[in-house]
Amino acid sequence: MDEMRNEVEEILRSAENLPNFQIPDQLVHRLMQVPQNAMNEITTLPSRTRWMLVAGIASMVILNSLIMLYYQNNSGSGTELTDVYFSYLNQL
Amino acid sequence: MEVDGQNWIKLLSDDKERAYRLLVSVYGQKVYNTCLRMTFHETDAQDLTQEVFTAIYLSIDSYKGDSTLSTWIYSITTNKAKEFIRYKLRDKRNASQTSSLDWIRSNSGFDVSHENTPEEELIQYERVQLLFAAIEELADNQRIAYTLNKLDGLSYSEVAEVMELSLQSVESLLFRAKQNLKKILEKKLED
Repeated sequence: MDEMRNEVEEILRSAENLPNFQIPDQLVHRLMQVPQNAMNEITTLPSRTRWMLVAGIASMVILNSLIMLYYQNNSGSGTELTDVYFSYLNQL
Repeated sequence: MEVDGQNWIKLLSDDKERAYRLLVSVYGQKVYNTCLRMTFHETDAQDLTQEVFTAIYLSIDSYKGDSTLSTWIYSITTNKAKEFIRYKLRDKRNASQTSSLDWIRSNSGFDVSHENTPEEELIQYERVQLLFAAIEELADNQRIAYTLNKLDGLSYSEVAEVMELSLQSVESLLFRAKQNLKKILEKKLED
C-alpha cells in the first residue's frame, strides 16, 4: 500500500519536470495569419447571405408600397367600416 | 520574457498588427503548451491556440492594462479551453481521440534533464502519461486550476485572477483536484 502511495506521489511530482513543447512553425504561420482571416470573416459575408439580405429588404419595400397604395385607394372605407360596427353595437 | 502592459498599449495604439505579432512571438509557445496540457491532443491544441489568438485579436482593443498581459491572455485561454472541453465531452465521437498521448514522446523536447538513463526516461514518460490520463478525468474547473498551478506554474493568486474566483475557492479546487487525482491514480495502478 505504501509502495502504491509513493508511486502516486512520484506520478504527481512528474508534473514538475514537464518540458516545454516547441510550437510548430506551421502553427506560428497560422497565428500570424489571424488578423487577415479575422478581417476577412468580418468584412466578407457569404454571397448567399448577402442575396438573402437584399431580397429581404426588397420584399419589405414592396410590401410597404403595396399597403400604402391599398390604403390610398380605399381611404374612407375605414370610417364606413367603423360606422357599421358602432351601429351594430347600438342595436345590441 | 514578459511584455510590459503599458508599453504594449502604446504599441497597440500605434500599430495594432505589430502589437499582435509581438504577443504571438512572446506568448505563442506558452499558450500552445497550456492548450496541450488542457486538451492532451496535438491537433486539438493547435486549433485551440488558433482560437485563443483569434479571440485575442478580436478583443485586443479591450485590454486597458487593469491586469498583467499574461493574466489577460491566460483568462482568454482558460475560457476558450473550458468551451473546448465541454464541446469535446459532448462530442462522444472524439472520446477515443483524447486518450492518444503519443505526442508526449514524439516531441523531441521531452528529455529536459539530459542526466536520465533511457530506462528512467521511459519511467518518467509513463508517469506523465498516467498523470495526463488522470487529469483528463477531473471536473472542468479542477482540471483547469490544476493545469494552471501545477503544470504552468501560476501562483494561487494568479490562478484566482485568471479563473475569476476567490483565493479560497482556488485553494479548495486544488485540494479537491489533488485528492481526486490520488484516487484516480490508485485505481489506475491497481488495474
